[in-house]
Amino acid sequence: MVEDFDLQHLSEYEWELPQDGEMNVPARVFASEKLLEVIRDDRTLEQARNITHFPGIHKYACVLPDAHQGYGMPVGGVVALDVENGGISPGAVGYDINCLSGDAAVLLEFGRRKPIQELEDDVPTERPVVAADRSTASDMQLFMEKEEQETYTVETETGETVEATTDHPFQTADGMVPLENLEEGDTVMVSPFQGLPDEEPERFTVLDRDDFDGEDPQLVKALTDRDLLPLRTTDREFNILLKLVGFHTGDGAFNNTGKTTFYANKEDLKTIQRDIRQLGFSPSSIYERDREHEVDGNAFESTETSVSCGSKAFQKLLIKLGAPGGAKVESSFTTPSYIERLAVWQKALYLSAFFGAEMSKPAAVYRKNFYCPTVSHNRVEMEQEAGEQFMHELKQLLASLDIETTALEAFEADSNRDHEMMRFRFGISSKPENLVRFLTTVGYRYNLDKQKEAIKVAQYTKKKEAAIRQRAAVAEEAVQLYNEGTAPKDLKQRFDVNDRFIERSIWSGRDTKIRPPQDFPDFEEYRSDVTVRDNLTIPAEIGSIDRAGRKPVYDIGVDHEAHNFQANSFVVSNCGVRVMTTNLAYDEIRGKEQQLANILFQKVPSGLGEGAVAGSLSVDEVEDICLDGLQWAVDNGYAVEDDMEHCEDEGFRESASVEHISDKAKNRAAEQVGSLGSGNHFLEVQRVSDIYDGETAAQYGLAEDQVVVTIHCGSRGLGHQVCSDFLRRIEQEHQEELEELPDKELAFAPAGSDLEQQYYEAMNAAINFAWVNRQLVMHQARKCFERIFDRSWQEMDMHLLYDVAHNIAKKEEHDIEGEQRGVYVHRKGSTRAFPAGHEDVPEAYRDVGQPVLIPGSMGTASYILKGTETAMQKTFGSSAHGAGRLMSRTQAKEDFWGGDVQDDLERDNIYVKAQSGSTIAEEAPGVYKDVDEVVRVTDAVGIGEKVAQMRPLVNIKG
Amino acid sequence: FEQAGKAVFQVMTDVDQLETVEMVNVAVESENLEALLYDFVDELIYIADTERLLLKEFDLVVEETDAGYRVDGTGSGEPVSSRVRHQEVKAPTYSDISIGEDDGEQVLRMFVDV
Repeated sequence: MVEDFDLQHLSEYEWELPQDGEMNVPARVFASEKLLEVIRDDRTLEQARNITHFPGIHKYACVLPDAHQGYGMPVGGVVALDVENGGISPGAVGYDINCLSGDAAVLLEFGRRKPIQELEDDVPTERPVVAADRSTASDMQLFMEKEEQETYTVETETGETVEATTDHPFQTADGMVPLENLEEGDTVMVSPFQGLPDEEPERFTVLDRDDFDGEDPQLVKALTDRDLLPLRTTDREFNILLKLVGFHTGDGAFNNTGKTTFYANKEDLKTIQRDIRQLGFSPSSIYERDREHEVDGNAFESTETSVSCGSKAFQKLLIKLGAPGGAKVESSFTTPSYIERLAVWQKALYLSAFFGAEMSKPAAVYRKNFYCPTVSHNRVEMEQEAGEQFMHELKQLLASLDIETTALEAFEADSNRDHEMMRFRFGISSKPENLVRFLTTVGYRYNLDKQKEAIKVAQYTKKKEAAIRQRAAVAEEAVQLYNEGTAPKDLKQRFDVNDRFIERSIWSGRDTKIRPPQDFPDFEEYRSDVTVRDNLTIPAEIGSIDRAGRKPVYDIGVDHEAHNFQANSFVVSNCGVRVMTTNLAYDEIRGKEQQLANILFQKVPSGLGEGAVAGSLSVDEVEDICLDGLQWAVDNGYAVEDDMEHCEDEGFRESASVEHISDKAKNRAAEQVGSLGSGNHFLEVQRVSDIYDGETAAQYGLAEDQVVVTIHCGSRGLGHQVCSDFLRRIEQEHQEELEELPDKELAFAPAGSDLEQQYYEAMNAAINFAWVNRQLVMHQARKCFERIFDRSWQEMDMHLLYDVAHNIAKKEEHDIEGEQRGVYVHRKGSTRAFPAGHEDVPEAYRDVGQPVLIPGSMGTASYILKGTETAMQKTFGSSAHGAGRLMSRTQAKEDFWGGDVQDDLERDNIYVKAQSGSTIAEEAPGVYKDVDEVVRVTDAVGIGEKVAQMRPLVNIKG
Repeated sequence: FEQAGKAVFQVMTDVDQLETVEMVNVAVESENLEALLYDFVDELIYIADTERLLLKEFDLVVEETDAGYRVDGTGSGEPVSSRVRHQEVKAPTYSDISIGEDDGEQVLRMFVDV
């Protein structure tokens, strides 16, 4: 039964369902009379009313012109839910720091730590480190001081302590567990790297334009444009540069055409790429090269991986900051002159990055002890003074961080053909407390292997020291009891230690150091028993939980896993649309449509069991895709950098994690990377049939009669499985909240719940996956065009115009009653439509506004619009996503027969290929709303402005 | 449940055209009957997607357990091929889900996402 709703008519195309009963806000419908009639025909309005029940919803629930009934939430609906109650960050120690005492130190970006109670003023700028899948920094969005509460001190066997409330969840190997369910002996995840205390650096200018006097003005402009000149010690960019300079001094090279190259492992290169991007430069993809080496007459091969940046400005900047150019061994460089005046944590950035490249890992020398990690450095004899000076400065810098080093050694090294060579070497003193301090406050950067090993060594050492302390206490007590007259045999019974230990303690006196007990594991044994996660956390046993009294507790919220209401179920599969331009004119494709249809249908996998462009992948590769987004496609040869630059979010969602994506979802994905799927998903070759806004069209690379390719598909089985899995988990874990809502499909993960955070991360991972999926389909289309037109795709200018997801929840800032607020904007069957000038619009389109891609249905026109300011005001920056379904699929099959539809379309010179006739019937033009009317209304309301219209030539369906 | 399973595959293909050449085990346990139906359909979609099997006949037992309900048994059908037309079912949904009786007959109702 379809309910009748009384709507208030606000303006020509705007209607309102007033707030009533349990609705938290009204619902706003954007439609013409004609479209409204259709909207009234199904349960769209009832569903629109249901979604206004969400807690934390702002302004109104939007119903767009193409809206139709969905599962739970209408398709073509937008809601914005507030970021209000909180947030968590397992930042500091792998613990969730939801309710912590004020002195708990939070690990911040750039290896700093700061007590949580002092973070209040830092909310807009500070970026705590989050132990997600990798250890990553994320924006902080709120700070809360709460009333006094009963707290408990939790101490692990390795000495990490934290004070928290009983409801405070701790990360364990099995997920988050509230403190009240934990006891001594249980294992929690800790993150031993602590960083150094945060301090404000002395503010001075490191480089300004004068330092680039006489350089190419273009180069200087490239730096000023990126806000890198003048460069001050307090600039965020400077900290990133310190790391890059440090690492480059170890494992980098410059060439004289302006290229800068970094050599590292693949995973670490990805971090370097991200940092280069953060500075506004474009890193290359990861380059692999097999190299042959010969050492002592033994030839062997290894693969060298590198990343470079071709910008001369970038190279010059690093050189000016003290990265040595030319052959390093022949250079006279020392540490950068400014470094002495920096804050301790900044010095550590430079050092740790250099050590990531050049310092050895700590390794076991004999069972329970370690060699000290060492740095070796070669210089030709001519430059040995500079080399010695450089090493000496490193030692001094470490001393200023309270790290003791061993004496500097110098000896003649293997000299090369032309030069006598000197080698210098020093190490980090391996005294336990010094070694632990080095590994947990400075350590290594850009080197995950060494970072992980450092954590194992630090934890092992702490554990060993704790065992030794315990033995020392036994020895002391034994001596005391013996002196008081207890017989040795009673002592032996009393303590659970070997007899010899008691004897030595009470009789021989002790001039040697107490050693750990014999059954204490050797490092190698410990090492193979524990795993450090990629996010640099490691399991630790809880030693004690003690009452700590009542005190104020604190809470910070991090963008990464902001606790909020998250409507789960209606963010389904992250499906979206991308359009690729070509330089082909309609005339060039005429007569080749059938041929093109055949090859595309053959080469682009669609439907069940058709396989995928990427073939059969492993679960590990699926995870990489989820974490890296389009970068994965670039690294694997399916995309170029230009594709990333023209994608929404540049093809990469941060805050993605695969930890809570089920194996089922990953297994479904493994064979579907690069496939259309079925239903309404398609690939269509179109011609631009009309241009409405010439200037914007030119910016988008569109001209009349040009051939373009539109691809509409999503994250396939992975996205659906993630959705189903979370829906069920929410049902099981949040029954009460769910009962408040009128429809079970509207399940949400409420504020403060683990699920909310896990779901957000899993959804971002699915979005990354969806981009890669569409990219691979596009890659395949490029190859098909190459076959038909016998030219490379580059010659045909087949560039990505844009790719946008239209089933998605995103954290964004919006104006809510005159105030900028963080909200989760849920767009179900709705496209983001940000205007010109918005910083989230990719640079390529920032002057004109984001492309809004509106695919029609088979046989009808598609449109490209641009985002507008009105959309920001009226629909949280959202616009329609397509024509919207008018007739159910079942009805369609009764009314249409696939073969007829196909013939009709072919008469209009539209060539369709699908896995089954019923798909064609279900997607026949007649089952959709009139896309022209949808676009007309969208344009008239102003939530999108028409730029171009396209008509179909060839359509491939799943 | 046997009929529900068949119905899901009827959405994907014409089950009458299928032959029973392969058999798989299906076992799902959930906290209540609706959830069981949801999880059962979820499992069938998973089988279709990863094992590429289209099933037509089911031999199932549904029983009450300590944790709720359990469905256990087998499904048989044939692998996806060009011989039979097919389309994907993406996911089960809770939209208008119901398990009830009508004129003495058990009626299970569910919308699936296609």
